[in-house]
Amino acid sequence: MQNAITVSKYNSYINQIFASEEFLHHISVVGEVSGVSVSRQTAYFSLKDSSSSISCVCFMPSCFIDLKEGKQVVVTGSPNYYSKLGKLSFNVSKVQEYGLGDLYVKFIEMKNKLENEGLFDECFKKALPESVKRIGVITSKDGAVIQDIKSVVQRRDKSVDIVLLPCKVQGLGADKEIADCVSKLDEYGKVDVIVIARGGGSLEDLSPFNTEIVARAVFDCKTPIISAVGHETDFTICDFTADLRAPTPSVAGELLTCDKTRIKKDLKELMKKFNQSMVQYFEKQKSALKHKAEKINYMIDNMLNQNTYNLSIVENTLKNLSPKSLAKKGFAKIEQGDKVIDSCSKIMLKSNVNICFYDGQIRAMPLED
Amino acid sequence: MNYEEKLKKIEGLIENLNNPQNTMKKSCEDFETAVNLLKECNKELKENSGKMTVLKEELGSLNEEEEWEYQNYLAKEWKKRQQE
Repeated sequence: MQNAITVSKYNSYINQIFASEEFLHHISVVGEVSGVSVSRQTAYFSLKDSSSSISCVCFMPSCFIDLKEGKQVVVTGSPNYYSKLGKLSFNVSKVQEYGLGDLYVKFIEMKNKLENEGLFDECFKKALPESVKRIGVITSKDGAVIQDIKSVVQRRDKSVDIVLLPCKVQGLGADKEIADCVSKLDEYGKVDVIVIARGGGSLEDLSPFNTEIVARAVFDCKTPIISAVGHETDFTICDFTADLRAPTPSVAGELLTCDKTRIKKDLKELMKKFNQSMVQYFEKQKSALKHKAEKINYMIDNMLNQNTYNLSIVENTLKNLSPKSLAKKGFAKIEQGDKVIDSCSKIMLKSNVNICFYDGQIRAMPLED
Repeated sequence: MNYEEKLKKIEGLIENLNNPQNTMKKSCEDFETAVNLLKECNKELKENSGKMTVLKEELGSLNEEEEWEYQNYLAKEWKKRQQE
């Protein structure tokens, strides 16, 4: 225990070894670019071959153009041991193209083979159901992807169920697991649509989705499949074979659900407008009715006044024609038999006549003139 | 006999009353008939006028009542939808 050294001393010692090894200074290394990320004028990536990998850092933006996923390059630089964290990286000062990477070549070969077989043909693409009640998702149970899909679906339509069939989404055996999950979910038959999802990654990370076994499982699946693998810029064979490609897993969630909150809001607006229209309509009808009622009132008043006036005229006429009121003024009616005597010439002498007064009558005998 | 027929009859009786050839008895009978018919017409007119007044009042309150009911309905529906 007396011989133990501190971590700092250990790292300092390792650093000296790398610094003193001249062979490693300004050395050129061939490999395939993978997992490129650029931040603040610095590119971070891995350089790989079939069995090994190194972490690289490049501070020269002019070199970034050749740092493409899957590309075979020759990088020139020196190893750098970062004592503080005890990490070894390769500082790249120059990047030269060396040809396409193995993984990329395999990807292209597989794509061409399956395309020639017709696996990507539009005529085999199944339409997505109009109404989705249950979504089957094939992805890692621990990743952020399933959470993203859940949150999008829940936010937009709470009535949609998600059935998760967890599987490995990268590494050895992932392709077989993915293909098995597709077959199982298809046989299960209780999901309206299947989403194969994974977050972004290097060509190597996404390689399970570029395998023939996954492509054939997706092609044979009777349930419609959406492939939502990687970022918007990543394309996999699974994307080409699926019935629909979603640029990201979240977009897949959006494609399969309607935004019920938005629909509710629109409906409320529509109802408000409808109510306003109804109020306006009723106001108009009310006004028309009021106008008609006023017209009817006027006609009724007019008719009643006219009838009252007509009746009063009849009444006055009758008053003037009362036979007794005329007789009361001193006039009397002379009748002989059933004839009214209104002229001297009509009277028969020495024959009885009736003289009618307002209060009675008397008999009289007309004599010679 | 309806109102119009009665009025027509009165007009006929008035024509008779203007005829000097009618006896006193006939004139008195015609006059009495005409007065009775006039009374009936007057009664009918008053009754109808009363009915019309009631109808006019109903007509006036009809709009207000419906409007009140519709406003109430709208308010209830609106509240219900907002709760949903």
